[in-house]
Amino acid sequence: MKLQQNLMRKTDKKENNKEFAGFMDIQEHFRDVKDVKVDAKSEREIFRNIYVEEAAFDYPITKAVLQKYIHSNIIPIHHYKDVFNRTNQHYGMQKQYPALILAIKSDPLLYKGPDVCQNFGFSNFYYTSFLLNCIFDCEYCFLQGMYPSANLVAFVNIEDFKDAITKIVSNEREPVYLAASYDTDLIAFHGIIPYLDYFYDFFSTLPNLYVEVRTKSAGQIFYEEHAALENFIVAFTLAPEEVIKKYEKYTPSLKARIKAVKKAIDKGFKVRLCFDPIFIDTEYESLYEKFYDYIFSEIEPGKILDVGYGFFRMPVDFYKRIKKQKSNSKLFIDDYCLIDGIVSYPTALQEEVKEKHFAILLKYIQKDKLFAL
Amino acid sequence: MILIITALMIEAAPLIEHFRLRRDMSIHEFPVYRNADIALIVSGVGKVRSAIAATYLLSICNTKYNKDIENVNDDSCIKDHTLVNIGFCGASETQYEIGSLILINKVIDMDTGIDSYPDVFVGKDLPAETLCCFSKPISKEDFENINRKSVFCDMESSGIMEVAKKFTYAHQVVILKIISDYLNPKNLNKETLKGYLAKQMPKIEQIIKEVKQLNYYFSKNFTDKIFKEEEKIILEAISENLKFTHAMKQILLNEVKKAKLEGTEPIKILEAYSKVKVNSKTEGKKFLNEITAKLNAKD
Repeated sequence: MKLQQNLMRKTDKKENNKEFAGFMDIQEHFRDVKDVKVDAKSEREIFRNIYVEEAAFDYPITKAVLQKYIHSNIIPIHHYKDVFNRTNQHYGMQKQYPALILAIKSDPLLYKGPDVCQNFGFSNFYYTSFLLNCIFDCEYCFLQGMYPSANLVAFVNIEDFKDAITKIVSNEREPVYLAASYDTDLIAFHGIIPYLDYFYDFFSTLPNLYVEVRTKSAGQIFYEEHAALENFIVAFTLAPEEVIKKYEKYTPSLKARIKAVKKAIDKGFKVRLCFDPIFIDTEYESLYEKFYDYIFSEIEPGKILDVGYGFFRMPVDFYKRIKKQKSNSKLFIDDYCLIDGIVSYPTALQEEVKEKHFAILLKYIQKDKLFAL
Repeated sequence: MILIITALMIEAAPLIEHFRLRRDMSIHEFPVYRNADIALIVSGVGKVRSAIAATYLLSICNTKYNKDIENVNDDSCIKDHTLVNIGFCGASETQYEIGSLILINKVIDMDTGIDSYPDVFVGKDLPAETLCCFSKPISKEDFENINRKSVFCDMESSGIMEVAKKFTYAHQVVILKIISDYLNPKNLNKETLKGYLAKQMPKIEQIIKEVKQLNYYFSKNFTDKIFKEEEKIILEAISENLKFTHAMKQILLNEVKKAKLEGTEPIKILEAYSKVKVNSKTEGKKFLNEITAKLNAKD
C-alpha cells in the first residue's frame, strides 16, 4: 500500500513538474547559449523572488512557504499592490519567471458571481480568490487582461476568508454557490500552497455552501488524501488535445486530465466537466464532435454531476489589453462580436455550433445537467 | 541596446576599457562612450543627475544610435534597451567583503520613502539586496540616526528607477553595486576602487551577456516583428498614396497581419496597390474596402 502511495506521489510529481515547465523557459533559452551556466540550484527554485507584506510574515502560510523555499530572495514590501500594480510590467516576460507575493487580503473577500460565468442553477452565486493568477499560461486566459502582472499573489489570512464565507452563508436563506478557483487553479497550486487543506474541514461544516474548484491539473494526490464532501465539486476543464497544445501552454494533456477525472470519481468526488472555452474555428470545428464521443467513452456519463459549456468570451477591456500585448496572436486578431461589453463570437454562429454540439452531448447527459451561457 | 549609467569616471573607466567603448565626440552634455550594442554615460553624483543622464542616453539611443544600429543589421539589439546602473555602494554591515558585487531587487528613495522594484531575471548567482538611495554620502554616525537594521546605500539608484518606470519595462533595468566601504566613504583610494571593479568584471560581463539574451528573447517573442521590411515599405506607400487616416492604416495593418498569421502571403495583393494614388479620403476608403475584401478572399 505504502509503495503504491509512493508511486502515486511520483506520478503526481511528474505531472507537477510539467505544470512548472513554463517557469524554466528562460533558463532553457540560456542553456542553448554557449558559456551561460545554469546550475541545479537555480532549477530547484520555482520562485527566485518572494515578496512578503510586512504584516504577513507571522501567518502560518507565510512561515510554511518561506521554510519551503529557502533559496528564494525574500523581499519585504508594504502592500502587495506596490509590486503587483506597477505600471511598467510585461505580463508575458513575468509569466516565464513569476515571483510569488504573500499578502493579506482586505475587504471585500467575496464577490458576486459575474454574468459571464455559469451559476449552475444557484441564485446565490459568489466567487473568491485566495490566489491571484495561475501557474498555467493559456493563450485565451482573461487574467492577462484583468491583472497588470503575471506574478502570483497568495493571500495568507485564511481565517478572514472563513469569517467572510460564514457571514454570507448565515445571511442567505438559499444555498450559496462559491467558485473558489475561478481566477487561478488551486489544485494545480496544491504542491506550493495547499489552500484546500486549510479550508476543507471548514467547508464540511457548512452544508448550505456549495464550493466549486475548477482545474486543469492532472495531479491526483488531492483525491487520495481527502475524503469526498457532499458540498464540494471538482470541475475539470477539458478540451480537444489539439486545442490544449495550441492554446493551453504547460497544462497537462487530455489523457492525463481524464486519468485525474477518473481518480476523483473513484474516490467519490462530485465531478463537473467544463467544455469551456469552445473555439469556433475552421481548424477546430470538426474536432469537438469526436472529442465529446471520446470523453464519454472514457468517463461514465452517469457518474458526472453536470456539464458546463461556454464559448470563448471576455470583457472588451480585457480583450483590448491582451490584444495589445499579444500582437502576434491569431486568437486576438480574429473578428468577434461585441455584445453588452463582452467580446465573443456572433450569437447566430454560437447558436449554430451549440446546436451541433448539444446534439452529441445530449446523447450522454440529460438536458437539465447541461449548463450553457 | 545596453545602456550603462555610472556616476563617476573611476566607475566607468574599467568598463570602457573592458568593452572597448569609444567616446562619442559629437556629444558634449555628458561623456558618452559606445560600441555597437553598449552605450555608457557618466552622469555625475546624485539621483537627479543619474535620472537626467539615463533619460538623455535613452533619448539619443532611440533617435541617433538606432539609425546606426539598423545599419549594423543586428536583430538582437534593435530598440530593446535595458538600463544598467553600475557603481559603488556603502554597507552598514560586514556580511559581504569589500569589493563584493551585489544585485539590487528593491530600491528605497530615502528622501521620499518611495520603494521601487526592478524585475530581476538575470544574475542568479549573485547575492540580491535592498538598496537605500540617499541624497548625500552616509557615514557610520549618520547610520545611527536611521531607523534600519542594516543598509546598503548609494546616491543614484532611485533616479535610474524613476526613469525605468517611465520608459522601460520592469525587467529592463538592472542595478549592480560593488561594496566600496563600511560607511567610511572619506578614506577611499581611486586605484583600489578601480581594482574592485576590475576584479568583478567577469561577473559584470556575464550579467551583460544575460541581459542581451533576455532582450533577444523579449524581442523575438513579444515585439511585433511580423512584417518584412519590403512589406513595411509597401504598407507605408499604400497608406500615403491612398490618403489613409491613422484609423484606416490600422485596419489595413490588422487585415494584413491576420492574413499572414493565417499563413497566406499578402504581398502580391498589396503590390498591386502600391502605386495607386487618390485625391480624397473617401476614394481611399473604397480602396481599403477592396484590399480588405481581397485579403479575406485569399483566406
